[in-house]
Amino acid sequence: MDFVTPSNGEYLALAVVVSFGALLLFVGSVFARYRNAQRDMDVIEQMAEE
Amino acid sequence: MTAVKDFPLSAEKTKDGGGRTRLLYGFTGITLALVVLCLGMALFYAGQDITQGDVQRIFYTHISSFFGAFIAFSATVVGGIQYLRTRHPKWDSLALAGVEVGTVLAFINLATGAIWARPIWNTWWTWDPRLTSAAVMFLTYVAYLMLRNGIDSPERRRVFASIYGVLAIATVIFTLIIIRIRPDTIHPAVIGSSPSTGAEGGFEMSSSMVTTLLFTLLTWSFFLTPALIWWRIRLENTLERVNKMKQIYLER
Repeated sequence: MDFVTPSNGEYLALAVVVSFGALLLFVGSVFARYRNAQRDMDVIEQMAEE
Repeated sequence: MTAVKDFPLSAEKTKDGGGRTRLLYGFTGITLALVVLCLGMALFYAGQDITQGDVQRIFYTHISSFFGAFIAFSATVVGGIQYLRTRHPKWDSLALAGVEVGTVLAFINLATGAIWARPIWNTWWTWDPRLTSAAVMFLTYVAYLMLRNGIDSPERRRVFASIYGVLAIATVIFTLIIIRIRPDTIHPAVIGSSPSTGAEGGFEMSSSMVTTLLFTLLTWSFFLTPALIWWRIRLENTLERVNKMKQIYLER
């Protein structure tokens, strides 16, 4: 009987989603924290001006 | 009253900061293009393994994420040693960035390994020496982040984090070499040889597979990891600046 290559592309798709999902989450968290810090900076500058 | 001019300028407003920002954007653009190319090569260029099927393509990301984590955790060691020598906070920022980026990459390594193992080993997880050491490595760095946040004094936090970061690299080295020294692991050694006779899931690589693996390894190690660390350091610098501004404002 001939060997048949298994069909398991769904696991590959899952791995791609998990890998790039984790990377995107991390990048998103860095940008969110950066934006919050910029906002804080603007608020402090405004308060200093008043 | 505190004047706005008393506050340090943000990176974008300084001449040097503007140049660095453009450099970072350029480097990020190149990195993004290379990462997409890596994914394309893994999915469409590299040949299919006839024994394992498409799931073998996970290995390109699995191995590269580990080496990316290795580079990131090595940056933590450099940052830690340099901080202990100079006490300059910029080195602590490098160490922290290395741990955050390395932990994300170590998570990708563990997750892709588990997903590959399901169809090949018929289980998501087993307490194999290599898998266990990789999990210990990941948890060691998660603990770094948790413990670091629990220390209020900035100076004490930085010293503690530096020492911890330097010592924690032992878990990375141990994970790296364990498949070369333990004969009872079932984890295959894709690069080099292993003393294990019970390794399951190894494969012979064609030239297109070798090219894809090398390209992905280099991209994740020398482009993706440094780009992520750079962005994380930039964030840390901004947070430091905000804290300094708060201190100046409150003291007046």
